[in-house]
Amino acid sequence: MAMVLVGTAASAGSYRGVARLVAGPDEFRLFRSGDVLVCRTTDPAWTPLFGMASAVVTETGGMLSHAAIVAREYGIPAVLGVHDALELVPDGEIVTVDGAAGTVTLAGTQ
Amino acid sequence: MTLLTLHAVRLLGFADTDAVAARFSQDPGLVESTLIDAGRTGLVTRSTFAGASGWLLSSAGRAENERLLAQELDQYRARSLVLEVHDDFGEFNDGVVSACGSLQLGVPKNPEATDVLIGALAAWRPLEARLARTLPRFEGYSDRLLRALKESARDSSWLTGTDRDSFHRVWFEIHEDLIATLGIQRAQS
Repeated sequence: MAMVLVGTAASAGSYRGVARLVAGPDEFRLFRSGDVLVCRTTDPAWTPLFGMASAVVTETGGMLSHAAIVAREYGIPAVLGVHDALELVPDGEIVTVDGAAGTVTLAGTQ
Repeated sequence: MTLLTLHAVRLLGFADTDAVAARFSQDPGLVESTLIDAGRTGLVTRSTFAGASGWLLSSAGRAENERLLAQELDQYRARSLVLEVHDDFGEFNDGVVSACGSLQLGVPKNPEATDVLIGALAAWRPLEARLARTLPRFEGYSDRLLRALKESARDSSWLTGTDRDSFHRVWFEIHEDLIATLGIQRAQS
């Protein structure tokens, strides 16, 4: 049975790719273009990663968050406010982010 | 020097030396020296994203930035002032982000959403003036918001774009400035 995490559908679109867990700016160097960004929250320092990411998943925030605005500007799917995403999504896991449905599906469970 | 340089990197997020210097009208040569020294002690790192190089605040740099900001608040006895302004800002922040979302998802010319942004600028202007009387580094946000609104009349990218000093980008920066100054965590936005 697939594990499906649910959050706020903040920016439409769907993408299947490698989840990269990023705890803070000290780990930005580990992020690769095309990765799915999974993090707790974002601030202006994270904006360049949005330009490299294919999708964004955050633990905090929602429709009324700056991350939602920035994700839409970059035209990438975003699911925000996914509780414990950093605990539940293994780093390197293949995930499908559906920014319209507000779901993150872990491939290992599909 | 160190306070304003680290804080400029914090507010800009990721920026090269000239932009860091320009943020608080500092001398670029001195800022470069400060950044190189900060790099040696691990407060900033030099990074490249999508072909663009710039400075990024490390976790240690963020902590040092907040330590210096706390010192500044104590020196000018400004903590209660910034707390009040942060609370007032919070009352209309959701409205601004919602309006920005409407502008992105709806028709490009949305008079109601634009009115919200015009109202937010009017509400922010006296708050900035109050802050700047004690902490002059808060000056300039209103002028940048006004410029973004004016430019948006011919190009709506000035409302929410990330590639220019758009209304949302400036608003995001004000929010970051307030929470950094108070040393608090970003909650829902």
